[in-house]
Amino acid sequence: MGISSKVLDLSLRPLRVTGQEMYPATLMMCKLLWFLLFASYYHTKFQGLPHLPLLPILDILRPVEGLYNSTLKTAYWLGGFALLFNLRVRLAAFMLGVIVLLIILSDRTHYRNHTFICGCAFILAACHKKDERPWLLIIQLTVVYIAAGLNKLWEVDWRSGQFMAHWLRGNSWFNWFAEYFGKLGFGQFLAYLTITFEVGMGLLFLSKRWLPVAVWCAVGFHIGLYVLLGGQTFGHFLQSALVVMIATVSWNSEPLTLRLPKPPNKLLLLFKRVLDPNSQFEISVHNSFGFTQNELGKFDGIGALRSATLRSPWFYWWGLLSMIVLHRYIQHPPGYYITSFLMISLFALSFPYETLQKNIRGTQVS
Amino acid sequence: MTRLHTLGLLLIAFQLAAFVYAKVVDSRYFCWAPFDMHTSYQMEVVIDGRALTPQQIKTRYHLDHKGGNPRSYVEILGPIQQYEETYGKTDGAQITVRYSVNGKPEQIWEYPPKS
Repeated sequence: MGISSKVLDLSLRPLRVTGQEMYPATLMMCKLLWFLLFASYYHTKFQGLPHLPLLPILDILRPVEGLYNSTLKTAYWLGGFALLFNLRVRLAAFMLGVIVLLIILSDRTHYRNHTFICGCAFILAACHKKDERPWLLIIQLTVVYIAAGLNKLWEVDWRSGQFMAHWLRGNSWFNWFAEYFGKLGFGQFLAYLTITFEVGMGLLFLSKRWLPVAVWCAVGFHIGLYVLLGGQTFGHFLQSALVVMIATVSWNSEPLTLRLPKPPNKLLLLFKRVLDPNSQFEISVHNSFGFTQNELGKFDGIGALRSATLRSPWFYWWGLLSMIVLHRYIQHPPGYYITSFLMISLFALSFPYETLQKNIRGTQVS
Repeated sequence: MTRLHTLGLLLIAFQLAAFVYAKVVDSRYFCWAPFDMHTSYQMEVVIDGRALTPQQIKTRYHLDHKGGNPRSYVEILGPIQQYEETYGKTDGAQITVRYSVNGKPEQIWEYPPKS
């Protein structure tokens, strides 16, 4: 293997998720979660810790504050590197989860739901073996949504519509509807709609049969909020939740054949190597162009293309990167409409009818 | 069921316990309560007759001198009280926090509490 080939091989490692210590979709999720933290400047949190810790015993580390912060920071970078380059990925994910929880416990002002969900997802991902679907992560999603709904139901101001009426007071579409239904009345309607959605989605996540529907509802719910609230991502909770849902994807490992009318040239083979870092595609010469899923040939054409998309790390990486860049650098009004369109398109591709059918039939694809 | 599965289930059980705990206290840590209540606040801190600047307040409590919190007002008052009862015990800080939950009438919290 030449040097250029080795460099290419190394640079494609962050895209490799098969044949590792984790189920491919779970590993994909972990890599993206780390990148999301990185893109949110999480590395700037490693200073001045501990400070007003939620766990008071952590105050004993104050005399060695510098060492504590450096250790956490080093472990964070090493964990990220190990995850991206597939070195002891379960250990790396576990370590990153513990670091996120330690940061929250070390400074109560650092508590955020969008980082807490990342910490939990890292630890729960590490609890599964490579051939296991991540059922703990699915329970986690259930707990997040049901608890969020029931917590709101517990609040008097949510039940009366006061919270919504106050929170959305500057929102033009809310004020338009409020003129007809009253601020509290319309606020109450939205509050119960939100609670119903959250609890309902949480329950759907528990059912293998309805899992894809739960994912779709959650995606619709988050994107709906994103559009209606003018690009609100709740910290990076929207991105984190969507990334955690990647863990629900059945990573189809059946070989997929790319049919070509003539033998591939060197350039095409290089493209194939870059675009298929997990070597999940085979090329065959055939009189027609297209994709075929080998198993009973049942995913032909668009169906096979969707199947190919689902197992392509490029798809997930570009999805997250586009979301981050569009949201951060193209401000609304076009920014969040484009981001919403992108998110809907990505998920429309990623959760096709076939996946739903497979789940309904109870077929385990591993 | 492996030991790691048990560990994962314990992490989830911890969140469920936090959910139950949040029903008896006003804090909302680890229980998935995003946007349960919206608190807007503004604080003033005086030490030795001199008001702290916004930057000094930020350094002291890791909180902005004014802003909002989408979970619970305890996430603002709690850190301040914890600081004054621990690291800043001898500073003799006089603190006034004016806050409003969900747009309702403003309340005033003071430290040290007036008996």
